[in-house]
Amino acid sequence: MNDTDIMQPDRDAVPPEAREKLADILIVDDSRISAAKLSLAMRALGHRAQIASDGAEALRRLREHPFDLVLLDIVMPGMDGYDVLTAIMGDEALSNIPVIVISSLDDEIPSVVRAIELGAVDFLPKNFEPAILKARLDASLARKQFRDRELAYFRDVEQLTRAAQVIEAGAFRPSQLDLDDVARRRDPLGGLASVFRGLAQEIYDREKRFDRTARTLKGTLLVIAAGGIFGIAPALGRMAGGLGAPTLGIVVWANISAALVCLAIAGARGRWPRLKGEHAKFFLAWSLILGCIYQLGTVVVARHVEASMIALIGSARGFMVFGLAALIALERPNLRRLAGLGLGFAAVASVLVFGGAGKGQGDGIWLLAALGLPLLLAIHTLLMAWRPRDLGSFATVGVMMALSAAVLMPIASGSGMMLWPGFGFGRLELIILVLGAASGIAIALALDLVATAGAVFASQMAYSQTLAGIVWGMLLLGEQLPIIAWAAFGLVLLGFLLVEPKQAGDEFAVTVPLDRR
Amino acid sequence: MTGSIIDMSALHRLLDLIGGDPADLRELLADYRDIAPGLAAQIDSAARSGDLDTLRIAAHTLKSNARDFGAMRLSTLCEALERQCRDGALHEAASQAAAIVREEAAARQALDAVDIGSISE
Repeated sequence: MNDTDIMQPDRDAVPPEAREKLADILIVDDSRISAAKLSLAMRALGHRAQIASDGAEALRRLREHPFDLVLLDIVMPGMDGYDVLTAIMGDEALSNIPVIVISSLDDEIPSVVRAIELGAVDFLPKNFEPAILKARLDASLARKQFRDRELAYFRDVEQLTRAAQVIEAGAFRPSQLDLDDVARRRDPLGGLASVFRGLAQEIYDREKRFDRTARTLKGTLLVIAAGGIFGIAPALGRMAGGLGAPTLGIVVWANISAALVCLAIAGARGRWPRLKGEHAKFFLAWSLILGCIYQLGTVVVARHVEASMIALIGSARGFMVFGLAALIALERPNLRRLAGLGLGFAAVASVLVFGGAGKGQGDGIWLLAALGLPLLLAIHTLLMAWRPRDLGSFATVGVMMALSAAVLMPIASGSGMMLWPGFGFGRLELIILVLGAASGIAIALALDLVATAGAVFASQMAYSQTLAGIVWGMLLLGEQLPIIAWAAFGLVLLGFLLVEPKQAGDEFAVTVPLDRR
Repeated sequence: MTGSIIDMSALHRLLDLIGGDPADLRELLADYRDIAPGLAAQIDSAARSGDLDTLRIAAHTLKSNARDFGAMRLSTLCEALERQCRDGALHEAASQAAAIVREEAAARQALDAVDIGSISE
């Protein structure tokens, strides 16, 4: 403990009333009368006494209860006083307890010398006077109490040093510092611990706020980027449809090109997917929900419900993710996040309604069926939160898309909606390639988005996607961009601020850069 | 007779040590009366059988107890026997034990005659 020399406990800081506090004393004596006599004497001096009538019982009681002092008879049958003393001194948990031996041997000096050599702090002579008993007891107890305080002090210094090491070692969480007990001390060490703990908490909170801000910005950029890229899909779909190609066939080829593009990107980044058995559950669930049911559902619903109406209904996805995430306790719901989602939905809905959505929609059952599409996407968004983290996002999407194409291809050919490749590379092939690449890249970005900002924040992609769809429609198909859309962009962005990314959990740790100069 | 067998100053010291309540002293004395004859008998039988360890510890205990209650002669007899046991130089153990048995009975009788109430005054 050389490095803590500068902080020695202050002897004068021990209040006088604490020096003479009631002590717990163990009397070890095989003689019932001697033990009863000493017990009464201890009570008369204001202490509490327990009696052990042999060495084994003494050691058992010492290990069960924290005693302040032991009065030990030397002559006992079986384990004698010397044996008990040797056992006490050999036990790290007990060796700090002072032992006073009661000699009552006529060759007093050698027995006392031996006992002191074995670690006894003092002895009571054959015919001790009550005043001698009191004086020796008080002196031993005062030393013990001071030593206890000293040990507690060193323990607390060590605790504080350990807390500093935790911070020095790298990422820390305030709960790891474990300084509450030290900070409760009413001395300079307690003050130091309290200041240290306060500063650490302050730094932690600040870093957590920075982290949240950074994730809001990164999340917002990803929502805009992923939604923006994804939003090109309907326009490209309409262009491909305009060339007379069957929708399901387009989807199959788009998925194949998405798989190729994503796997190529993953390979170029050196993150080629290394698939393991435990990944199978995730990919199967995914290919069923998004790759199969959703894709087929989109094709079927699109025949009965007008595209802008599908987009309007699809925008409800944010609320579904919000509700599902709260239901399975994945993310904490609150009014602010709900209001943010509501704002974005209102903005998108007003653009779509202004654009003519909802007019002449007679078939209620198909509208209800259309609600299933955002629900599937909501489940998909939550599913992304559980994706295997050891696979890169592009590798994951590549596998997903390949799987999805493999599932859809037989369905498409069976229903006569498969598109078979012809010779050459024309306008349709280009459209399908761009469509696939855009979908694949957008989903890979969405995976990063869910990891960065959580599923609820990521669900706002529904808004950016719908608005981007309108813009892409204007750019690629010469469609008119309603003025109200500009206002909607502003409202959707405001919604991002309200929704905020998922809060960092308890696992969040902060690293303090320490300058060692 | 009590004066010669029982050292009253020892009883004073004992009462002082245990806090000065005569009731506590009476209780301790009753314990002594219960235990002392048994210890003397144990010394006697151990002396006959030659069980040195039992003899030494019983003599030691009776020595301390007798001294606490001022039975100095009994304490001295026990002390001599204890020392001989420890040194392995025991002689005429049976007659020493018999003397201890006699002295213990005498001391007990003398203690019966002590007025505990008068000690505290």
